[in-house]
Amino acid sequence: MQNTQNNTIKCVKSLSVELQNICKLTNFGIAVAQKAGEEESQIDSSLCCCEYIDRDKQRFHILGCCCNCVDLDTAFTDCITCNKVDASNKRNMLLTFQDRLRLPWRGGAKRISMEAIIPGAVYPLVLGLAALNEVTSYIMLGSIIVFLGYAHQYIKRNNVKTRFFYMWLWWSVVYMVAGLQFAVPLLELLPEENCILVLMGCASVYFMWQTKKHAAACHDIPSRSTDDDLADITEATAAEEEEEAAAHTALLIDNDSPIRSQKNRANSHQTNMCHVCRKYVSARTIHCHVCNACIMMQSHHSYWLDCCVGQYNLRYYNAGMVFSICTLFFGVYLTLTAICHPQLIGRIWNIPLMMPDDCSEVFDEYTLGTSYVLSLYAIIMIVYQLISLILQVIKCTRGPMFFIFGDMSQPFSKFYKKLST
Amino acid sequence: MLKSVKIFQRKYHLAELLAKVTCCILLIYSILPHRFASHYDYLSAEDIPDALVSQVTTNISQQHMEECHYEDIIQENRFMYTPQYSDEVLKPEEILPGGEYFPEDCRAKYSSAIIVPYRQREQQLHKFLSYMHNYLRLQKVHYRIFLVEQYDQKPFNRAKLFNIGSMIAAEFEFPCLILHDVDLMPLNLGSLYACTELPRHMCAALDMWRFHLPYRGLFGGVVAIRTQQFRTINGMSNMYEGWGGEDDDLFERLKSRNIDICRFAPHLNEYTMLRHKPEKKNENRVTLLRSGALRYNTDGLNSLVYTEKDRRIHSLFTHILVQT
Repeated sequence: MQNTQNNTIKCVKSLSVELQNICKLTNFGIAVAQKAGEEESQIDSSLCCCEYIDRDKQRFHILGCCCNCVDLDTAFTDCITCNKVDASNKRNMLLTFQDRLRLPWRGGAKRISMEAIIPGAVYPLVLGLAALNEVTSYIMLGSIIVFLGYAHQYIKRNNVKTRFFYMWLWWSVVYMVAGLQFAVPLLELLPEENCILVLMGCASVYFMWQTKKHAAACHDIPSRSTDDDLADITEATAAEEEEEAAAHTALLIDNDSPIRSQKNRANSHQTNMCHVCRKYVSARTIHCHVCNACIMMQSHHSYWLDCCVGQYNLRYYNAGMVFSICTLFFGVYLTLTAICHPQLIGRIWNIPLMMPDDCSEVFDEYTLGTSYVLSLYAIIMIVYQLISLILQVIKCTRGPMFFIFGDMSQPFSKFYKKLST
Repeated sequence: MLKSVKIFQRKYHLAELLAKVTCCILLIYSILPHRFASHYDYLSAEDIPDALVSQVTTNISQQHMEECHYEDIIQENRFMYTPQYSDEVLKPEEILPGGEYFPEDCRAKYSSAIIVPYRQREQQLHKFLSYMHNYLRLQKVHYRIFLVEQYDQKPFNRAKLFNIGSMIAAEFEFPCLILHDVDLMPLNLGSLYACTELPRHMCAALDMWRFHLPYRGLFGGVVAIRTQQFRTINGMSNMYEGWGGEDDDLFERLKSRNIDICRFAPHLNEYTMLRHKPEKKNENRVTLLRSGALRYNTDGLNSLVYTEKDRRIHSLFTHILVQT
């Protein structure tokens, strides 16, 4: 218990340091300069919004993106003179291209990662095609499911750190909101219904944001100061190293993560020892190979939020899931009853309840087709979220209740701390 | 350069502040009610009997019987749109030739001419007639269905057909006109086919629109208006050919004469719309609407020109074939 408390205090401390850093970075454009190292500080430190420090640690302006690319020049010359283009040349060209793709930002232009751009372009393209007619909608939505499912499995198996799914989620939220605003015939919805939808949507975004915000607090940073611990670690290392090497070779043979995680879990239960970080950790802590950190009471790593779900953000995560399922369900109900022919199925307090009974005419108009496809996509999301939520509940019925509520002591203690200060 | 703003002892960076304000504006915009369906004022259940105008044709007023009661019909508001009522006409012998009916066991308080403009929709017409006869007889009102068919190839002129129908209904002395589309059918019995003091919009809760009213100025579909008022506003405009605009014009005409409209409570207004291919839209309906105010006194019943090709008395309706 003492240990965990120590850890949390440390966590908070490290968080505050991080926060201070961020504040410093954001205040006066010295962000990139500081990050890049000492030598940059000699250069005049204030970047304008269109400037940045590039790969070669030199100041560069966004508008200079088309000039001064040595690799492109050589590649072009090679092409013209019918010589073979060097592989390193190609790679450098690509890197330069990635490096120069930037967005003006205060404190220096920010690099736009391909992981962020691709979903933003692919999503409207695929759903735009799907909205053409019934056949394309099934083909496109089917291929989305297959592609995302395969990519998710692959990435999970290989523990790749990627923001692709996180960006995909964001873009889908953005496009769904846009679809609701511009494609759904809003004149058929009551303002109250819209208010409920907006409130629930805000709540789910808030909880998901909180999940991400509190993810860092779950990283276990144990104390290394005591002599006993050190002794143990030094003792352990030799044996552990061998074991780990063996594990690694085993992994190379077959990339099966469940076995590894089980092994890890078993080990950490026995000795509270993380083999990867080579340190003692608190009970129920699991090493996440994606975050590359020990996560206290890890539930799982969520690629969709690009963070680990553990001790302090689990309840936010579950709340976010419940709210987003409700939002999506209500949104689908409103959209489908508005664009399809609805049938009255009953009343609650004089409010008519409807079921869409005939959607044969939605592809006559492109906007209606778009909203229909978006609601089909939302249904897929609902099913996926429901399955993962049910799995979570099954997990909690086998284990302690904390898998639903997380650490209950935390919010209240924080609240009291806030009151007292 | 100004980089941060201090509000309530907390410093905000300008960009952060801008982002937050934008988010707030977007959020507020997304819940602004004017983009959504609107609620409307309606007559409460107690006010309905007083608001209804009890006027009948001469043949009904000469009957010596007790008056019919309508309170229970409105109170109960029975759901009617079942296959039992919509598939075929029950007891067709009750209906007089020409699609007329009045209750035998009591004296009807209301006489209504139901005017239905029509062209080439046989299936819908069949469904409409069988359902409406079953439906209206249970309401115990005196009614007659006039089907006005446009017998030429010009674009469908719904408003003009209503004008013609109102002239013919006047021949039969009907004090109340129900301007009815052939593809709309009431779901519940409470939507009483009788005129109120003010013109009444009867299909405010349409299933195609999730039983909500898109905007308050909507005054089309099914409208109950007293013959006398219809004459006061010079009927509807004859110039709207093709789909759209004529109902808005009617609303503007009423407004120019300071005649307000009314509606029943939403659960009494529920209608279903039969699916059909959309009519060709009237391209210049907006221009016509804008200049409409200039033509209120010259374009309407007093400028109505048409030739009646034929008038047939069918068992379920009075069929008027006209050339516009």
